[in-house]
Amino acid sequence: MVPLSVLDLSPIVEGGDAGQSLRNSLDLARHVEALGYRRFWMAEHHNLPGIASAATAVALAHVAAGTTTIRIGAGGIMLPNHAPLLIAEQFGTLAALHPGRVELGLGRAPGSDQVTARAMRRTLLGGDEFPQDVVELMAYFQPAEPDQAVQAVPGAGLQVPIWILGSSTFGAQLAAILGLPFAFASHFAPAMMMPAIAIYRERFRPSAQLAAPNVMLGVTVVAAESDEEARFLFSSLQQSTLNNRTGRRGRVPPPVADFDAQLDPYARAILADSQACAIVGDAQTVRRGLDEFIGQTGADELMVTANIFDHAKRKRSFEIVAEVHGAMR
Amino acid sequence: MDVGMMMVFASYGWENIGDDQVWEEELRLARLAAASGFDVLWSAEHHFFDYSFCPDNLQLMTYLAAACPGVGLGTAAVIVPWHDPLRVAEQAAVLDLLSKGRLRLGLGRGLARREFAAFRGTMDESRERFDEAAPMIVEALRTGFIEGDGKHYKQPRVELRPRPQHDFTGRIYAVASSEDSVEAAARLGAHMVMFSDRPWHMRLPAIQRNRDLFRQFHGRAAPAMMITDFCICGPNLTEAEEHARKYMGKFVESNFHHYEFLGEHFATVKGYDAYVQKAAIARQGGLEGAVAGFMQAAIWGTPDRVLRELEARRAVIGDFELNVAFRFGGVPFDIAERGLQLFIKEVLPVLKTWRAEDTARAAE
Repeated sequence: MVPLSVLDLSPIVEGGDAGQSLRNSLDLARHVEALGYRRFWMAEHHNLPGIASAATAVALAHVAAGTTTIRIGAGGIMLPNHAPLLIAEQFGTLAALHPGRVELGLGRAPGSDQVTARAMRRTLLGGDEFPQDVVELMAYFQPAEPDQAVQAVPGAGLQVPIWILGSSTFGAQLAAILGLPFAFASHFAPAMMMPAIAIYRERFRPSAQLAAPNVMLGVTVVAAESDEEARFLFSSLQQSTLNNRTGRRGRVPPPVADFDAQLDPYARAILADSQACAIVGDAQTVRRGLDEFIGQTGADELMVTANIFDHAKRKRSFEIVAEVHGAMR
Repeated sequence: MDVGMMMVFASYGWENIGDDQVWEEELRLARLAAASGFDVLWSAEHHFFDYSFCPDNLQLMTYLAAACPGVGLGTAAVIVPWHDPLRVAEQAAVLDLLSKGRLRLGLGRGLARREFAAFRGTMDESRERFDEAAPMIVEALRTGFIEGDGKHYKQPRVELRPRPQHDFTGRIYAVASSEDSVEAAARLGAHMVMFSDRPWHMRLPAIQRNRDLFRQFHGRAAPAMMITDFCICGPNLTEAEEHARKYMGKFVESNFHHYEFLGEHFATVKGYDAYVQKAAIARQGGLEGAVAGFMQAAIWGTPDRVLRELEARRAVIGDFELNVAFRFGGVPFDIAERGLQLFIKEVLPVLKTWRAEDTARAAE
């Protein structure tokens, strides 16, 4: 059975605040650590009222300090927003404090819009330097050469494992060429999933970090006691997705009953496109969904995400997925 | 060149020798080697029989860590299927901490049926167990956390305490006496370890395969392989040859006996197909043929001849690290010690000047 990991978007729900979200993130991390999940990753997004993990390394430090064994990582850091040295220092700091647990996924997207990019003193024209920046960042994690002018302190020699993230085939090619593990965002961009996996596996070249291709797929799984309840809980994510796509950014809204019936064709199309891989249902439905998804993709690992409004229900969802996973062995 | 001394702990071939004396002799040689410029001390793991009896080389090396400051401490090898990988990782972490990063961890999968039998019959599973447990151990020493979800080892993720304190890069070794172990060593990212028991040109295809697979798996050149060698070094060539024939002959005999090369069992034990051919050759050529082959591969003679043999080997197979045994097959202690002393005086200083970059020239 493929290992399961967790992608936490640290959702800020309506009526909640960022502090509560970050505390919930730690609570969830402890919960899934006990359930046997392999990694707990958080993502960099900016200027989104519904996501609390913009300062990703800081949020991860909070989670890492409160857990003991689970791998902690960024899924991911949007490298065009940063100088590679600063990211090496941030994740070097995390790795120095929590050796053997810290990993770093890197994405090419800005995780924001043009106005936000400008506020970060970046232009959206960046991205072309992404491959060079990845290589530069990796070099900072190698042991420093005797005459190396610029070192990441902390960071040098800590060899933080790097993942390449992708929602298109670009990341797949880069991960393949550099011989790095590849994580694909099937939880929001399923359309390019199969081509990206194929390109990655076909062009993979082994590296010091990795001998054979390693594909991890992000997948939304909302599990509950019944299919009906799971679909109800899922409606929060559906609303957020629609809101974001139509420029109405806000906090994660509470679920609404019978949401699917209220959708217009346009909304239906958006959701069909972005949530095609989502697995929503009770234990049995989830098991069937996971089986099919793994069978279709040959994924080496799944990274489960679940933006559920109610924190207790969210924890329960991950618990059900872990139970299903245990039974699938 | 990196040069070590191999401790075998054997009594096969000696008359009236107690286990305590075997250990005393090996430890005396080890102290001498460590004090005289050898880079590292190595020990095999074997159990129960005269063939060799150091059942816990990590324990031995922890003693030597204190007894011999500064020298490298190597296991060639820890036989993984006979251990819990978690405990190997813990012991390695402790030894490496106490010795301040001097451990070189060699791993192997075992070959003798009679040893496996005493470990309650795991020989059929040895390939699987090695392939599962060895990466768990290496990863644990790298990250400080061990975990596994394979067929044989369901290891919940847990942190090693004390945590590994020193980077193990370049300090992992894997024995490859069989074809599929050549691949396993490459997969593990380890220095491959071979024994000098067959002529080296015969081994070249396997060595090349290891280098190719290593590059394929890791995208970089394989580290230098290590050769465990057997040495009779003396001032007089005729006498040295006579000793070599006698003691190497006895050592080959002990190998035949211990591994049952004249038997048929390799054909029926899972994962040991590669030894079927070797056993068949052994039956066909007999002990005499095997001794002749061994003497072609191993190093014996005056220091000058020993050096020339090693030079010739380097020209065939390229760079290697060397691990030399002086006490095997009934070699009396005074001859072993004299051989080691002569090696220290005449051979070691020359080997220490060999650099990797010279190899290309040597090969021309």
